[in-house]
Amino acid sequence: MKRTLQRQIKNIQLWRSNKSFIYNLHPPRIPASGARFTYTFGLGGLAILSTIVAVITGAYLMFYYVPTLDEAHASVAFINSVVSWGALVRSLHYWSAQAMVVTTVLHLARVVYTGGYRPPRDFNWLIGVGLLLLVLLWNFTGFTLRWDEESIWALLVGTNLLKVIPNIGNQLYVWVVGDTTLGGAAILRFYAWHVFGLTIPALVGIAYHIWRIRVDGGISHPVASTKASRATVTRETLLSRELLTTLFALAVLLLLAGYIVPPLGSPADLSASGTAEIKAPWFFLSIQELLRYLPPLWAGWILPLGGLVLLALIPFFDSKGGGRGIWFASERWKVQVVFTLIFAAIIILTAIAWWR
Amino acid sequence: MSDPNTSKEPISRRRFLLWVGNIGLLTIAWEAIKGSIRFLQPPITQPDPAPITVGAATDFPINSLIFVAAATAWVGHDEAGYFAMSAVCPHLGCTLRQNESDFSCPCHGSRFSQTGAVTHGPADSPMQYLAVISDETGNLLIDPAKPVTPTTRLAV
Amino acid sequence: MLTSTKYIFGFVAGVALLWGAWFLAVQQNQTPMWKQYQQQYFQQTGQPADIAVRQIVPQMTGKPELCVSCHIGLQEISSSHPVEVFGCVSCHGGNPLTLEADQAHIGLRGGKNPSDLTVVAQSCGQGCHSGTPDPSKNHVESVRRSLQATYAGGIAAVRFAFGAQSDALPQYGVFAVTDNDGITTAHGLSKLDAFPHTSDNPIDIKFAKNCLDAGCHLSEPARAEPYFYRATGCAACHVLYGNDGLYQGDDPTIPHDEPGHMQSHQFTTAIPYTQCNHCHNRGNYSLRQMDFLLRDDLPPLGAPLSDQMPDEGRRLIEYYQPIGEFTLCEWELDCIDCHTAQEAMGDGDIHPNQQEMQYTQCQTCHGTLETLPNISTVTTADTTVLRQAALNPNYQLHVGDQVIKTSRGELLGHVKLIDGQYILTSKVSGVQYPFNPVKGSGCQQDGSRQDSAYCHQCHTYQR
Repeated sequence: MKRTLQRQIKNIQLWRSNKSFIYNLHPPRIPASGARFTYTFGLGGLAILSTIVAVITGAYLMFYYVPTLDEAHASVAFINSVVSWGALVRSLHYWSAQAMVVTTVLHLARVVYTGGYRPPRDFNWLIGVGLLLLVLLWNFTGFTLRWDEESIWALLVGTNLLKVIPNIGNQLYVWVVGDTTLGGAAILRFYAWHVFGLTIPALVGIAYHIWRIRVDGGISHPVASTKASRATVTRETLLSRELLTTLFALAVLLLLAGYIVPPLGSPADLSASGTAEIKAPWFFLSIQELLRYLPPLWAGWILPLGGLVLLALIPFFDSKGGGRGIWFASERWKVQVVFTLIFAAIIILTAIAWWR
Repeated sequence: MSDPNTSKEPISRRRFLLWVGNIGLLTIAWEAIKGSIRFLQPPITQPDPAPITVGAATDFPINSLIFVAAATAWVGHDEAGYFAMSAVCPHLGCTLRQNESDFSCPCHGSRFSQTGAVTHGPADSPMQYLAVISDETGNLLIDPAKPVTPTTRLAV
Repeated sequence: MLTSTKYIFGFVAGVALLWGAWFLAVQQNQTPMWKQYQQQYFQQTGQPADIAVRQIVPQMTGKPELCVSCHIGLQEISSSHPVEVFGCVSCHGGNPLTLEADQAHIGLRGGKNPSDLTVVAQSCGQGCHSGTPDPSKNHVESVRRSLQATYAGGIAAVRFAFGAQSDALPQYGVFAVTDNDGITTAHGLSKLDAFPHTSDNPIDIKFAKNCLDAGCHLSEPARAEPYFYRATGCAACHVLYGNDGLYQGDDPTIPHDEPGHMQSHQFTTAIPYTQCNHCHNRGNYSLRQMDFLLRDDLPPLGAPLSDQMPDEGRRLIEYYQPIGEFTLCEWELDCIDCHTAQEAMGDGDIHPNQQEMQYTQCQTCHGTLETLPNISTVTTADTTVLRQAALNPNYQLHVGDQVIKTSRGELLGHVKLIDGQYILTSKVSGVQYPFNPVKGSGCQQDGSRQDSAYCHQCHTYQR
């Protein structure tokens, strides 16, 4: 009698390994070559971790942030210095958001360099490119919600860029900004996008993206040719690696958040001439640099969107052949070279803009 | 089947370390929960309301009972002086209605006599009387933070 | 879960690292500046520590202000500007809802001094000290047009003397100012332009350097030297600074050993001579050199007075310069016991020079051989003098009292005729000085000479 009760109690433990949610998301066995840390560096998982931290800290911030013209900046300053732990929550939100962009981009690069976009994973690749766009927009809308000196210029330029689109530009501007000029309507709309409008597609996209990995046969890995390369690991092994990575990543995030505090300038004032150096958020610095040389339609829309379209079409250009699952496989050299060139160009432009 | 947790075998080093690690995680989680609760505690709140001017003493003639919205109260004037009855229902706070011969609450049906005593309804305490004070220029003020007895009057 | 050595090692290390990161991140959060200030305050004043976020909700705005969380112990500025009504932000500006200094001080009007003449209209105007129907209450306008602010006479006289302008009529003031609500005096000007700092006339350049930028008017910050420390704007007179420029209050954010701060965060109308002497009696003009020569019997050029010196001796040396000639009452009384509100703060017109404005003479209180001093009975309509008396705790005034009325109609509420005796009560010390009129005394004055230099010929106090 006693033993059955004990067993029953043990059975309802939430962390009992063969009943937990995260456990069952994983297949029972994973090819060892795909589960190596040095194969994926856990970048996709880190992107998801960053997103979870950002969503949770973002929910906390919603209890104090006020998306109106008069109170936006003041509420951020309030969170930063008056609310208990407010500075840490805000800092975590900022750093998890930046980590989100970095890990997403690096994850994308990893997939390109290991050929993980090959069919049947081509549709998931498209979803991934869409998620990249969502992540960048998430970060941008969040940046502008500060409503301080630095971010107001980024918002101004970004929204004015809408106007240069022929035919639909002005209409698009009003649709995005909620008014004919930047003001209270813009804050409210960007807040709605940031908190819900982008979050819903992003969460749906992430869920689909993860599910699709299993449908497509798991992480893409080299085609097994020898008995050694057919080795598998259990999901326990994979989960333990993921847990450790999570612990270390969280520790790094906490240290960053504790020691490097995100800035907050003086309240936005479009009539002031602004500080000497007006810089776009770091992930858009390459576009800011381009805007110095090229006409706005090219620098702001054609080139960046063209780049995204090229990215999306990668599986099209390289849909069969060998070299799947192997870093820098020479069979896929064309795509890798083109990608590297574009990636390097973006990094160089960013570096130039950063160190002006 | 012997249960390893109740047997007298020494816990293996591995199990112990795992246990330490789990406790560590749990304490961090607990700290995070405590921090979240503190985070949600508002650091500043509205101060207690200051006395509210309801009008000149002459606005409240003898035997009148006039509702003043700014103070959510009726200001009355009888032979003994001025008094104020709070219009906040003592049950759950709705604003009372003044009828021909009594007060009633539109939310759950409590009824009160002219002097504030409960005649019916879920309310189990009478209407609150509030302190009436006057300033140097002959205005009357109600101090909503100061409840007084039903017989308290500000002498004319 | 796995129980391999590698995993367990990684797991425990990961948890330890997470704990370490958590601990360090929390440390960074723990002692913000505002808590440190409050700790300092409670230590300094010997009170039991009660560290908490503090707010005031002023009646004027109805919105909470957190300034007193750091500025705990700062005195209320004055009883006519009570903190519960005004709060801090209505005068100072700034962001009241944060506890970080750099965020809180964004938008602070005039830095530490909201009465600086560039911002005084927003801080002190707004229907309170400006734009009211009673001209004697519109100090924002009067002071901006007054000579201590415009320096019009000095500018015009020097430029005329050196040939930069063809007559002595003022064209320039320290800043541009216009008088658009009517000129009431004979020589009032309608406007002054801002002094031409971009002029390439060597006279203007030298004047700007030696006189304007050296601190000779209300808009210019004080020299950072003993006896000179003061604020600009209204606070130049109404917020007292010590000769050493040290703060003596309890606000922990203001250091006690750094010269250049007010003595205490308080307005006063009982302004002692030491305050006037932060600008006046500091030396002599040299017209020939177009320069100001500091007096050398006091710092910064001379040695400081000994701390042991009795107050009377100190006053005798500090008040007037060694070459100064003065009577007993000019030394025993403070400047504002004789000089009137209009003389100091203007009468609403732009005047061309000091001679026009400064009209108090001995006869104002003492009368002449032929005439007794002009007396007026205070009625309820005399709101200005009644208000001045209400603001100064050192003397009392009631409707029905008989007080001196100056030649320009100002009532001197502290100089009264009581039962046939003239009595002046010092606005600064409250000491009463009974005095006699000239008429009926043994004075041998020439009635046509009423300037104070003439009276000094007999009545000079011998040091």
